[in-house]
Amino acid sequence: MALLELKNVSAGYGKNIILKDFCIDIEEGKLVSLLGSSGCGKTTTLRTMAGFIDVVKGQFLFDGQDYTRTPIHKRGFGYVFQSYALFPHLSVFDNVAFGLKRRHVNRTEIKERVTEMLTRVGLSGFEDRLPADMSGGQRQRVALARALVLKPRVLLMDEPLSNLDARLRVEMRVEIRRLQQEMGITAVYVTHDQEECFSISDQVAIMNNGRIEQMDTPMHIFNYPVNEFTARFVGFENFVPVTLENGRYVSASGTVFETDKTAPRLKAACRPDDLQLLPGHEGGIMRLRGEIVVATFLGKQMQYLVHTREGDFLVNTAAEALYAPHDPVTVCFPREKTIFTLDETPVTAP
Amino acid sequence: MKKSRLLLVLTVLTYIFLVGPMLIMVGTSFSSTAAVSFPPTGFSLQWYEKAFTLPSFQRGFVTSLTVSLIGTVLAMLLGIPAAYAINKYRFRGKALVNGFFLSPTLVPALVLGFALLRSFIPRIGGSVYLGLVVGYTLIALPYIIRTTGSAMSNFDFSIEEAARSLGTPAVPAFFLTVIPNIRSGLISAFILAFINSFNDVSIGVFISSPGTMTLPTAMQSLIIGRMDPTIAAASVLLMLMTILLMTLSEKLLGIKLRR
Repeated sequence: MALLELKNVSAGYGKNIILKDFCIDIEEGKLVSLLGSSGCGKTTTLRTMAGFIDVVKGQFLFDGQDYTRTPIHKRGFGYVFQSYALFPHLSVFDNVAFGLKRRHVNRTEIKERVTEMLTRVGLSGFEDRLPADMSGGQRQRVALARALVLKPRVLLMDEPLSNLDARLRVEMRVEIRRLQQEMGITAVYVTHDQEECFSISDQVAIMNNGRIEQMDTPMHIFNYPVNEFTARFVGFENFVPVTLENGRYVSASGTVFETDKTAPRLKAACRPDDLQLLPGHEGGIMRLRGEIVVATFLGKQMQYLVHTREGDFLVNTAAEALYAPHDPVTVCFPREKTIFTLDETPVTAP
Repeated sequence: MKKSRLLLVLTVLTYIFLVGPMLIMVGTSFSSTAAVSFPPTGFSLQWYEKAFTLPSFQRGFVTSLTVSLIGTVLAMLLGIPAAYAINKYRFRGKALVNGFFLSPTLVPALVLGFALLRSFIPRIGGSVYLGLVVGYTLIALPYIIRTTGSAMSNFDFSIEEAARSLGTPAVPAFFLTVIPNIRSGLISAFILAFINSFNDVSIGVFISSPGTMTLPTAMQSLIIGRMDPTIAAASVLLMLMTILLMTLSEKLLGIKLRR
């Protein structure tokens, strides 16, 4: 059963409703990422779960209980902010002890738990520092410790690594994943960084326009995107619209594509790395005739922009420069590397 | 070279223009004769003694102190929540609300005093004391909102949200996060507003009764009656108080800034 559940929720800022009839289920112990570009509603979703944004319509369930109107401070969820939001006037120790003091935990236990938590995030010995005297990475560790010391069942994270440099980001995401699994916390992680999100998550929800386009395991999303938006998001750049005619899928120029799918309109899609080029014009199933427009040297690979009657395609090949502009070529869609997505039909969460 | 000499002359003249009256005041206050003259003749502290013992000054000081303090405190109670709302939330008509709260600075205090005298005092049973408190609350409010507001504009409100997510209800979260981080702004707002109220003449001149008048008003009525160095001595004392408060606020802010 889902631990966190948004049921047909509408929420936003004042009259600007960002989520409409939004649904998501998050299972216990999982780390689920909300991935999307800015304005897609991922942060709104997270803030709605935290209680920072009021639900206009619908229901938010936590462990089967209605939490829709539960005030923020009674939810008991950990929250990690993009800006860390440490208390600037308090030492590292007092920052981490803040939540425990609010719960009137006795002093010896506070000391014990804060010390243990700081050790866990690699910050023992920093107790008396002020946040201003620490680096970005250290501040983020304090922010994590501050949330985790309360042993929350749910940890909500809003782009926690976006203010760190690339090396630290990789280090910290491993750290976050380790802590989440060690402590058995259910986590929701908002990010716009695809690599970060795929490497850390049990499940990824790709969001667009206040909707979930697809929610699945990272591997599934990477290999089997269900629609064009998700496909583009994970690197499919070449699309051919095909329609079902007499039991076969045919492109506008008459090329036949083969698939088991049965929807009337589909889009065949392939990554630049997976398309193949053949010299000259050859017909056949899943092959399109074209002409080289631009050849770009990428270092490890050559990238060709190929013009066909179905549009322009990007093809990456091995680094030898085989083709020059204006050369006639055939673009092949390998059957095992070609996916078929529904044509322009968004799919909501399962 | 020539240019800088001209600049020097101008600077000196400006200083004389600014400081001159104060020097004359200080000189006169130590005069041993009753005539207000400069340079002073002789030296005595008798006018200071008089300034401290004159009943109207004593009463005026207590009145000024209490109404300015109460007015400033009331203005803070009104102004801090207003500044908080203006800084934290986006809402329709925000610019209007902001302008509305700062409007007392646009109306001359004289007009405010007159309006209070004609329309407000009669409706509250003629209490001069209450009238003064309300007047000084109005005068202080824009200072409080502007100064605490600019302190809050540097505050990251997700810090307050962090406290909420760690189990703190809304009001304690405000006092545990917002207040400690705008403390320097609060102190300077308080001191600025208090000095402004304490030194005000325009409202006090309208709202006064023989028993209740502010110190500046008491001083003014003394000048009208007769002119002797008591005024100078009282003015020097007022100046000293203002300088002391200003220095105090600078010091407090200085400490805060270094952290």
